[in-house]
Amino acid sequence: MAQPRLNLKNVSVLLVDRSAYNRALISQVLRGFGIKHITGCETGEAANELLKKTGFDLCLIEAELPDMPGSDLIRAIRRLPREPMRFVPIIALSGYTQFRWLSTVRDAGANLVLKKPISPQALFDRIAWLGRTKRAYIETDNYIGPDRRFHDIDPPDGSYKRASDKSADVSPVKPSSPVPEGTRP
Amino acid sequence: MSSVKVHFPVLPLQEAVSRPGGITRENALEAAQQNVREISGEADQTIEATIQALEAIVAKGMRGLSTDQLREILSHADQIVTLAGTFSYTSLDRATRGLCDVTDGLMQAGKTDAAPVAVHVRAMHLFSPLCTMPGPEESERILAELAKVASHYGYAPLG
Repeated sequence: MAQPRLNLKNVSVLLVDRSAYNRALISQVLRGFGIKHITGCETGEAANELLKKTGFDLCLIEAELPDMPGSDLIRAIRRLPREPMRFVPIIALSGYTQFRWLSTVRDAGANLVLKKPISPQALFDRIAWLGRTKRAYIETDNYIGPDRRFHDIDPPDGSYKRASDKSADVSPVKPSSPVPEGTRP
Repeated sequence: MSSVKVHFPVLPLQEAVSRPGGITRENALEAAQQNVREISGEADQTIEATIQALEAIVAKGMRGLSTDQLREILSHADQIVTLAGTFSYTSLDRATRGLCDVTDGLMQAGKTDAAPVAVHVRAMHLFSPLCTMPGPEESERILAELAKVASHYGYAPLG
């Protein structure tokens, strides 16, 4: 049987990470996936300026930026006036020392969190999951972001947090590409 | 009363991935790994330069590291953890995680001791990919000594 394919050729990615080398490394991985449009930014401010003029299909944002917490940038994206940019899938990237920022990026509206060092497998599987899984977005006074409950669909790593999440003992549909490592919000 | 709206947006990413053509997971991962290998040499240079930056900070702060210096150390160390993990430099990865734990612990405790930071940075220099690496037994001995330092201060691992 033919393997399922993922067409990422026309996907545009905003990559915000303080380290030029990390940006180069992640860009190499994304190019391997067939992604051609990758824009890198070092700071949250630079990303904010860019977002005023340009839209992206996917954002990868480091949890702690040189000039602001990554959560501030995520919150700003979720409050952009134009759709669909305000609902753009966001993967927050966490370094070893940034673990305490995880709850803040989740609460700011990140879709998924990925722990560095980033393996191509983990990144590909998360992008595939985001591309293939339709999720509702919730807008309240203090939260705009993906519905974090998993009643009807599996989370990307097949783990469950709430009693009301779709549970493993009701024959869950496993994600087409299991995610081997990392965390989710 | 606060309002709650539920949106079901049509996302360009979801439209794009469902178009015909594209790449299989196997081919995507192979190409990504090949692309990463192409820049592994630069990674070694970046690691070496970052360790030198750490040594410079420690040299300036031997009488006590300021909060800004500790923050800068954490930022550099985080970068090395990422690269060491990506390119499987296991001993360097472990030593650098130890540096992160100790540095973060010092910051949280409001301490300025340079000694535990300096000993970690010296070990990291030994494990740099551009240096002649110690053998496995010697590496384990060094890492065990570093673990004693962390244990002495009682700072919990970050990750």
